[in-house]
Amino acid sequence: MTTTTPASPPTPPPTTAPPTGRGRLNPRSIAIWTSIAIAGAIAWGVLALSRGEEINAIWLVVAAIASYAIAYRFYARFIVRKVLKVDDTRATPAERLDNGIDYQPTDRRILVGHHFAAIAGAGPLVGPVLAAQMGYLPGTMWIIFGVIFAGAVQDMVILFFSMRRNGKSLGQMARDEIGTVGGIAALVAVFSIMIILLAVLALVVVNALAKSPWGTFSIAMTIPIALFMGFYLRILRPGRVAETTAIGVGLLLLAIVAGGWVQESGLADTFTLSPEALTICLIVYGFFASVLPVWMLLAPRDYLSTFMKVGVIGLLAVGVLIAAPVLRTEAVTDFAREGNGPVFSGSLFPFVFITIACGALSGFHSLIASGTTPKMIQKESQVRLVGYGAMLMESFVAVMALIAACILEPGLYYAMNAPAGVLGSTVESASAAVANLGFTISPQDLSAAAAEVEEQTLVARTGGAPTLAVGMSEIFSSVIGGSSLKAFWYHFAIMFEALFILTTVDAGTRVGRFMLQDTLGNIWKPIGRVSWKPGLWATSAVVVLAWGYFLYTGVTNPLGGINQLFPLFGIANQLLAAVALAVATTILVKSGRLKWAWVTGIPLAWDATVTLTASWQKVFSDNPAIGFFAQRERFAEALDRGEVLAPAKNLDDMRAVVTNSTVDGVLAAFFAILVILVIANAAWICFKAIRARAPLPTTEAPYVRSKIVAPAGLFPTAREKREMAAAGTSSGERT
Amino acid sequence: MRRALAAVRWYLRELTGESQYDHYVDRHRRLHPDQPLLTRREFEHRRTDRRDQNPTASCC
Repeated sequence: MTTTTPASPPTPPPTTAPPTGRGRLNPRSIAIWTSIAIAGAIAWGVLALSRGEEINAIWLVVAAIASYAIAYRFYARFIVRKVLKVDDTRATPAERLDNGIDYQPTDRRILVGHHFAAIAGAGPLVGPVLAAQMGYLPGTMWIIFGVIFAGAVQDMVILFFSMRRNGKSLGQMARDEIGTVGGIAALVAVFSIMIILLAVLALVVVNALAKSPWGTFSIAMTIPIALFMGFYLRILRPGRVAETTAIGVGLLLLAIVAGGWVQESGLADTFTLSPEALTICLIVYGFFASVLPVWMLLAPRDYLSTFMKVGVIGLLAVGVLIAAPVLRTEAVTDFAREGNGPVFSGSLFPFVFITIACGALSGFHSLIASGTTPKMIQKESQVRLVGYGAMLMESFVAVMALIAACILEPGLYYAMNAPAGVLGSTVESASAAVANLGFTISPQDLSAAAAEVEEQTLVARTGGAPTLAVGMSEIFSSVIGGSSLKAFWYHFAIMFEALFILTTVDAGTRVGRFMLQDTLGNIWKPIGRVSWKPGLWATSAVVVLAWGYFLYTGVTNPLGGINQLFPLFGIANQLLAAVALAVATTILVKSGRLKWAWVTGIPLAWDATVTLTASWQKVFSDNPAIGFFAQRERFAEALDRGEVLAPAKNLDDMRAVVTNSTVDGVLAAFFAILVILVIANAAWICFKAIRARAPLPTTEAPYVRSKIVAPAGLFPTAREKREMAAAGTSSGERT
Repeated sequence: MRRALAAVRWYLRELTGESQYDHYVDRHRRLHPDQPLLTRREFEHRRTDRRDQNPTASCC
């Protein structure tokens, strides 16, 4: 540390192997960490032990934050040092292959922002809302412990392994590490999860906008707003993103306010659309959005939705802290024990773990963690902040969504979330149905709740988004504006969710098309060329029609689309997580780290148990509410006798149920077979690796000495500051 | 106060990618000082159009 020559080639950087100090705790940090641990323990105690009294949501926030802090400080650090053995003297691909385009060393604080924006979406907002039917405790525990031991571990480990392999994708790593079967299964899993994901997300939007002229108008206006921003950014002011986003956000707020005016005006009927009409609109939109150049629609939408995402989540966190709302849901409901809940069927195990995927463990993240992020990391030790840290933030979003759902009166929650077939279409029938479920809400209260947010009805507004929006408007309006702003906040929340779901629909269709082009290109060359327009249109249409099919069956399903499709989405997502964790475990074993393989092996075992149990029940359960084939049989037999069974209204409905349950059942079985194939293949490779004694040949890129000096965590330590000063880099604002 | 504002501005410019052109200019001057620079317009067009060829998904 005596040389001060700024980064001349022969001077080795002053860092040596263990990147930061030996981590002996001084009395001050022992005191801090002990008090965090005590705060967390008290909060958990309050959540777990109180029964029958009202719990403040702040306890949930404290439990979450204390657990995250301890996990980040101790468990993530242990994994980074002992299991992954990060080496900050080793140059990352961003440094070695820096081309100023995709490989680019990026400041850790920027990268964690990018990574968080890429992994966080509607998933952590929808799942917890649905899982609230089991009570607040199972969801909270799974979100927090799941992220600490599984979700964040998966994200960080995949990020690290991809980084050591020059940013290889999950599919490539599965092929290289596990073999062809694993590779193909991963590819098929990614494609099918994409289709189901897009259908479920689009269904959330349809359910949020159906019969709501205010919402439909505001969301429709985002298209001209995005087009305007696109042209502004392309032609008038290239590259001025902040300015363009500010204008866009202004217009967006105007569109929300204007939605209220439209609802009062003669235009209201034009924007009152049936779910079927909205489905067609979305399918057409999805096609055109995905074939237009990125700059026109997708890029500006991306800026808007990222801004809204970060802004609203920040607002919600502040709102929860100020409003300090009380949880109205029980800790654990009877539905959790008996598995007869109306929102989704099945008991706590395994269905809470399927319903809440994003926020606890999400296989989808492994695609992002093996995409652009590993090509931009400056220093190996930064995987803890970027991979583990960003996932903790997403988990916190899920905790807040759970709070927003649990502060609602249970009567209102079930009146909004049970399928239309159960609730009927009037407030009276809904009130009676809710009473049947064991909760109370009077028809007057139900009308009043709808009037408060200026919606025609709140009955059977499934999909999670309207429930979350009511909860958020409750929280926001108690901080700003009181009940006069409730309708604004409700539609603000709807806009926030619909906006980035539509962005995902566009981006997801593009990714699906790209995969399809890539695969078909092996059979027939021209279709693989991304610039060949007819091929582009054809593959786009295939992808759009694939998710459009599931969307349409979801919208028209008498049993309720979310009720039927969400478990499939959860299973598909957890299946992808199983692929990712199997890849990670195999790499650990192959590189001679068998004794640490439990770090990803235990989450893998848990994930496989959950996914396979859920698939088993979905396929083989003889309870028609759970098993797809039992359901099929029940409706097919009635259909043969010419009978119409309860939620269905006519024979066409009956036929729809039979077809849907067959397709869904086949898919559930198919997903389960994929998981088994990948795990069996991985287990065989691990077995061979253990038998081989010496570590198998590595697939890592060779070691090159790093010249970059940069801190590992969010804030540089004293030692890192000295090292940066020695190397001539300031601690701050430079990439 | 001024330092805090500068830090916020830096963060937003980096996060939105507004500063990408500046980084490109720095890099280009360092590596190929003899070759002509792209204008901001050309650079931004190329940067956006690259995403047409290489789609990335944001998550659920």
